[in-house]
Amino acid sequence: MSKRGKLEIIYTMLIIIREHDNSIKPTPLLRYTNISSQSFSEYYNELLNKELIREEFDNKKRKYVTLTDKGFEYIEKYKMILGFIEEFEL
Amino acid sequence: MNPYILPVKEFFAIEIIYFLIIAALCLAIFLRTREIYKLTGHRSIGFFRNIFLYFTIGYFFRFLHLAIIIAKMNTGLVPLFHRFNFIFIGYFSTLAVFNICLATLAKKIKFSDIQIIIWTQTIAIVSSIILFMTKSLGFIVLIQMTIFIVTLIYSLVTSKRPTLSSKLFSSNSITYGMLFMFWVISVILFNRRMFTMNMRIVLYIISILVFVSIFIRVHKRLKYVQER
Repeated sequence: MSKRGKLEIIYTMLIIIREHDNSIKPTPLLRYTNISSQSFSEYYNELLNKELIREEFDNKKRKYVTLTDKGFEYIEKYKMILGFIEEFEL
Repeated sequence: MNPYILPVKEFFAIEIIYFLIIAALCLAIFLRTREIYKLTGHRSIGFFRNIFLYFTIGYFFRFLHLAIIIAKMNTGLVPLFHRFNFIFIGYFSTLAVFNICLATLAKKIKFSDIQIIIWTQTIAIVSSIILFMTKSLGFIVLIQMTIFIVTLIYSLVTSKRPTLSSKLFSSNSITYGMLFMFWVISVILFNRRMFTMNMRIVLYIISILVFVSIFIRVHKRLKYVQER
């Protein structure tokens, strides 16, 4: 998958989380993202490592995913990042 | 006055101004792109930033080399570290040239980051050691031109611009090519007798304009990031 595609998938995942009131379980996130579970797992871990998302647990110890400040920032600046990458063909 | 031999004071003044402008522009580009690199971790942005970081250091050691030459002319003394300066010029400028090539080819190459680091560091270190031993700046220019030409050929072979009407080189390829070309010229300009004062100044101005144009493009694209 191209790097551009990668940035888009990350953006899509972050948007899905935001549109679910910034709280979604990993399984529906996988379903909405519409990529293979193996790819999803790689992207998911990358988002965690880059601190764009974080995992939270409710009283029943169910896992939810939420955006960090950095995640919101990524969404906000996504078009500009793409613009920069296209400008310099990176 | 012989136009090929500059008075030492003017020569030094031109060189220090040139170095300060280039270093300021390179550092500004490097720092302005820090935020989007931190946010995305995009490999090509990393290569792009490294071009300007390594050129800042490369141009610094180039300036230091010229300052040593001037000191030698005035005092007859050569500092002990003079020869070691060759190592730094060779090492950092080779890394800058490598990063130009990597930024151009980032979409096409499949090497891992570790493989890239091992190869670029090995070639940069070996080149700088040979430069240290031979003291021949022509050698480092030859190595860097080889790296650049190999990249150019690879880029053309793998180019997705097959039609005759399409441009052979993109405007960015030309920009990267000019960055490389002006580095080579700046090394050639070590020879004070090769260019007249006027020619030297014209070359420096064009070189600065290339860096300014890149800085403006970066600034325009990232204006919003900086303002937030």
